[in-house]
Amino acid sequence: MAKKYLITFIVSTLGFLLLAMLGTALVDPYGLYGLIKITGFNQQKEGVRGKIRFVKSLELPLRKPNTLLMGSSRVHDGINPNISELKQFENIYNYAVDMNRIYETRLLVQHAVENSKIKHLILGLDFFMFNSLQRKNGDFDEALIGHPVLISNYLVPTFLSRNAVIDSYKTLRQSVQQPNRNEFLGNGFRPQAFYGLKNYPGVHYYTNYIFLSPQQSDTLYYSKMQTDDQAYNELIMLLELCKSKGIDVHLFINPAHASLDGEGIRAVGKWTMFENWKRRLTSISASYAVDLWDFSGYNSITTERVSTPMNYYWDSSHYTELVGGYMMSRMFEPHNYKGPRDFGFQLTSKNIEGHLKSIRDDRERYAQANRSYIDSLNYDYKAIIDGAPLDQIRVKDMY
Amino acid sequence: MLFNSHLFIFAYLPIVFIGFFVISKSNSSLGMLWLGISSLFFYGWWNPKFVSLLMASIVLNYFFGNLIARLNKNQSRILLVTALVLNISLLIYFKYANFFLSNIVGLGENYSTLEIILPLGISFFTFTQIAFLVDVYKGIAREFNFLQYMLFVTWFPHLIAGPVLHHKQMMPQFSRPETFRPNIESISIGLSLFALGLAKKVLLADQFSMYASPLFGQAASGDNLMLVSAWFAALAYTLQLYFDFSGYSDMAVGLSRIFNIKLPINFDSPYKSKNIIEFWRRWHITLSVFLREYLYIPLGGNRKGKIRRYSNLMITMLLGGLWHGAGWNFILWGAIHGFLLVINYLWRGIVSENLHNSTRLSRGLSIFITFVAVVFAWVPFRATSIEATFSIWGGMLGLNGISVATSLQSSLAPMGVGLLFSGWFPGTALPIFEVISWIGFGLFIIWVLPNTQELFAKFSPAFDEVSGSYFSWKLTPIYGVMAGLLLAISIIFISKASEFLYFQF
Repeated sequence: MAKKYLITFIVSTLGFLLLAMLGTALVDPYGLYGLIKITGFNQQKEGVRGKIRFVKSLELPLRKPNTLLMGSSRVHDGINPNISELKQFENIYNYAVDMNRIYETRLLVQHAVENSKIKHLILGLDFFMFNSLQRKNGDFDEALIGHPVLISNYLVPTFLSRNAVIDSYKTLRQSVQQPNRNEFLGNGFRPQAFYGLKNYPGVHYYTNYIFLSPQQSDTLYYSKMQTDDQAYNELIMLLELCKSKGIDVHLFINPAHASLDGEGIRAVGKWTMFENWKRRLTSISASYAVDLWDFSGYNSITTERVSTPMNYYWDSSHYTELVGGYMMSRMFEPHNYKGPRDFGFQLTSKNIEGHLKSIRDDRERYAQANRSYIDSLNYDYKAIIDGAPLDQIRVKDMY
Repeated sequence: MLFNSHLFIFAYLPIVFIGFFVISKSNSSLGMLWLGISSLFFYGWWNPKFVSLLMASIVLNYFFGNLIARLNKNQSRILLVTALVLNISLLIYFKYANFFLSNIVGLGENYSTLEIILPLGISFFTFTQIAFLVDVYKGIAREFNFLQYMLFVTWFPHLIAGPVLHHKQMMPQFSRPETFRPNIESISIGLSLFALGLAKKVLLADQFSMYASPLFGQAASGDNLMLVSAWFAALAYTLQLYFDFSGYSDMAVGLSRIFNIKLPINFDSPYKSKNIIEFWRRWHITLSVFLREYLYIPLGGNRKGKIRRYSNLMITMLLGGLWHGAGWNFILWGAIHGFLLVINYLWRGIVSENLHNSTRLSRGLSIFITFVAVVFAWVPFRATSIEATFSIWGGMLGLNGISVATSLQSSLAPMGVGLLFSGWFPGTALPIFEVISWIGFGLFIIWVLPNTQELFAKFSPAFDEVSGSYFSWKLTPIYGVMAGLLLAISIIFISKASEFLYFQF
């Protein structure tokens, strides 16, 4: 009797475990293995949501890229590695992660270097990445980063865990319910299906609220922005690492919409800090002989009128793939560049002051030409900064 | 190494199991050596540095034990005292040095704490060996086989968090020939107990910790918990601790049983106790027995009049509290239990006890009152400071106000009863219905269902004989599939191997 019991016990334990592993492997909720891809079954990889650092750090050693696109969600959503503007680079992976910080970026680069032969790094920089009040974010796990990836890193978390089972279920449910949705392509880029937006102005204001409201303490965006030497040292350490590994680096400053990385930064009183940040970036990149492009400011792209639909923006923070293409073309294929002439400027120690002044002049011209818009924007911003809750701001017409 | 890790379940356990029975086939002493070395490896996985400390403690105590057995009464008494002082000094150095330093020198503020890492299981292996030495001195125990002695102390299922073993329970089992032959029934029972214990840990204890941690965290950071938060914090921790520690004990008993060695039971549905005296006979039984035999009785027990009896009880419970950790909160916890025990004994002196004649209602009421007292007493056990303890107690008594769901504002606010409407658990995102359902489920398990050893009573799962309950486990294929499903789900739920609470004690 006991013998039969013991045999069924052990066989069913292993059987149930195998069944769970087979299920998670086929559904592949993190998009790592691609054994089967069926639209309406498992195309929408829900497991990636909220675990972008974890998933990309496991995906990277499987893809073995030579070129990395890195940065925040702006790069994650805006620059597709497959565009022709990047054809001079081989084997590109978009290793950008949402709400990124410079400290995380440095460790992610280290992780990439230890797991693949990296030759080029194209890194998009954002003001908030240097916020010294919060040096890391979200699902960032130092324990995973920087170590060569072991079998146990895959087997347990991606097949045989509570999360893998729950994420498989979510993937199945979402894939069945929304067969047109497919956020994750396998090259690290998150295509625009992520947004599924209806009302651009509403989303615009909502994003600005997230960045500017002092009540958003967990994200610590512009309202509580502070920088310190440690943040800049992280960039220096990153560049040192690349130098020692012979990696060719290109830096650029992302073009968020002027209502955010212009008027928003001004409204919270951080404009001088923002300019000083660009000065520091310029001097650091100059000392490592790395090129640095600035796409921000008040140019034809960043001042696109907020309406439905928009060509250049998903919301005030995230530009579209079209803009991403312009940026890469400006930096790497200037002879084929088809975007507006005033978009993108290569910064050097010699031209930085002139450039900052010209942005200030652009801003004055823009403000004079759009007086009523700027006034209403600042009226809203003042309410946000004074702590007004979300539903009292114009966001209410979102969706 | 943790029982609730994939490495332990899929690598360590199968290797040690197969190795033991293969080696024992040719030579049982070598088999024992294999278990001893495997146990040291198990211990060293956490921090190899402390294997030498553990070995030094074993060698020294074995040596003292042998000497005590051979010398005359007076000489052996001196030796016993020396050995006890050494053992206790080791414990005090690792566990209490910083506590004393901060409370004595701390009055002047200018002190620096020592950087001492607490070796895992030090209180367990120290207590096990103190009991051995005292028994040798009394002439109850003798041990001249070093290998058996080493295995008795290091035996991996109990080494880190108990049960506290008694020499006379274990030694005969190490010399029985049946121990060295695989036994299908033992393996079946052992694995089933392990599966149930693992389920208690990963499906229940870890779930309750998700409710207890944020709420106790709020109290620790200075918030005053309100009525609902305070009660659910205390209840969630009460359940977490029970499922965590009794799950660990089930796993220990089960793992040991796989190797044909029965460990003493450590829990017997403590929350079903009808009074505090009974609670201490059902909660962490092996520690209670140890404290009674080696502290309370040597202090004089109940032989020297009522006043001495009660003060002995208080001393035992205060030290029992301190055993759990170097902190005033543990002393407070011990003091509460000591005080409750004294009240319990006084009450017995007034009302002659006869539980058999009592009504169902009065028994139910007794269980409820005892449970509430225990829940209150767990608060200082978990709260990191005395301030946080009083804040939670205040919340449980309604002194910090009552907050209810925001959605109730329109219907309840006009009544003007002084309620706040900042949600049931202000400052956290805990969902009320989920919390209530889980707490209700946990209470159902502890009050209504039979406990693990009752389920397996007819297979005598542990060292002590236990009687069955209204439902018992059967060794049939259907039950095999159920156990398999439970074990598989539990293994899947080991997401991040979380440590057992009793490792810190």
